[in-house]
Amino acid sequence: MTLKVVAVETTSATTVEALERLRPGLQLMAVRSLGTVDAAEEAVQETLARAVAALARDQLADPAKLPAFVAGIARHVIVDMQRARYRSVSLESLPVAAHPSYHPDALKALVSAEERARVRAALVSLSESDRNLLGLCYVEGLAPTEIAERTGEPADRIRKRKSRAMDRLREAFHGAGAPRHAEARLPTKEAGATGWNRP
Amino acid sequence: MEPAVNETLTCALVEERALVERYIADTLTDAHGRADFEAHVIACPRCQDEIRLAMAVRADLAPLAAGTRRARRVLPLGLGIALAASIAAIILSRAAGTSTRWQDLGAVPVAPIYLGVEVRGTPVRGDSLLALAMKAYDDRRYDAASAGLTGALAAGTDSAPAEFFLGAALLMLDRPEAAAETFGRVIALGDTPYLGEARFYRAKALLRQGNGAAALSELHAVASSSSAVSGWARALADSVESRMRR
Repeated sequence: MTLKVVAVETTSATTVEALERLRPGLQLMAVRSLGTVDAAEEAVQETLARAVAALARDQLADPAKLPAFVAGIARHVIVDMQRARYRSVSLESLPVAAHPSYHPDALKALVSAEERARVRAALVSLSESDRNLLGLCYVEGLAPTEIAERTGEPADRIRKRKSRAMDRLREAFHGAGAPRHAEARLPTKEAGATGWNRP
Repeated sequence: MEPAVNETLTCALVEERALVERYIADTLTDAHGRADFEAHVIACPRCQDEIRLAMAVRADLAPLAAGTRRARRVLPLGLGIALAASIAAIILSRAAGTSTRWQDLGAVPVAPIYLGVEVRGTPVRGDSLLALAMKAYDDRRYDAASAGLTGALAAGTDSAPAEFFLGAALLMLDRPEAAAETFGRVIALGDTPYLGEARFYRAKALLRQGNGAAALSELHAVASSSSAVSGWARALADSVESRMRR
């Protein structure tokens, strides 16, 4: 779906293109926070519509700050939508399956079944200590220095182990022989701006 | 981690500060630059991919990590010691009366999440104090949050959110009596958006005090409402009732 600019005729094609380029990132942000594809799509549309209106009113002084400006709008839109559901919710009060990071819809929306299967297979091939290390990173959200404090292992060694393990997972994630994401997914004129989100 | 507010992030800084990891684990707060991170991510396909990969990794590792944590509590002790500890725990629990009987059910490992509060009309001084206090709360500095929220309430901020999060901060500080009293004030305010959760967390505080019956009463009140935590209140009520029957 492309951004429909109906109300604000003064918005230039360049601006719309710049906003469209942010759509995949906004979708990721919204899906993670809201948990469902439908709610995320609604949030993205609302964000882009508000951004178009704000830009038409010259509310952005520095064009280089467009991503931060749009991300700020998205945060407000997402919080408004969350408020509409409930004012505050403890993760502890939700089943694990309902946590944003675990939401099956969110995961399905952002990670294909094939990608997950490849990552799972690669995880199995790692040593138990490397899997534990990645658990500390991605389940507990710890940085190598914090893991070092906890385990007593030097931070540099932890960084190296993590980097090696993640390289293997990255390769698996993108499939054998596939180009690395940075090169493969950067927007081009031919491929369009929405990169990974395209079928 | 160093606070990173209003700065332009690069992928290298994202990696150095483990921001993807923290974002995925939901531990990246506004105080630690979540806004800057999101501003970077929406324009960075590389970091978007890293997040998707991290989500896949986390989805597979989270159940394992939980299992490992549970197992590690017991296995290193050895079966005999574990058995002895269990017996001792039962004896101690009975000797200590009802208090320890409910401790696990009253646990709150993750504080209620603060999503922000809309300020009505012209902001008062208490609203800025509330914002400061909630920054401390987001940062898990519950002592500072509790003091700040008390100040915000005295300065006239909206009492429902301030009281609710004061109760939550007190609960995280392991002060269940004060927390129960504070949640009681939120409940007394009537039909606010915080009512269901105030009852739920008051029940948690009461359980920590060993008052299963009072906790059950709060949980039944939430369970029969349309609150976001009704399902969990019902589940916790079932656990309390089941333990009462033992």
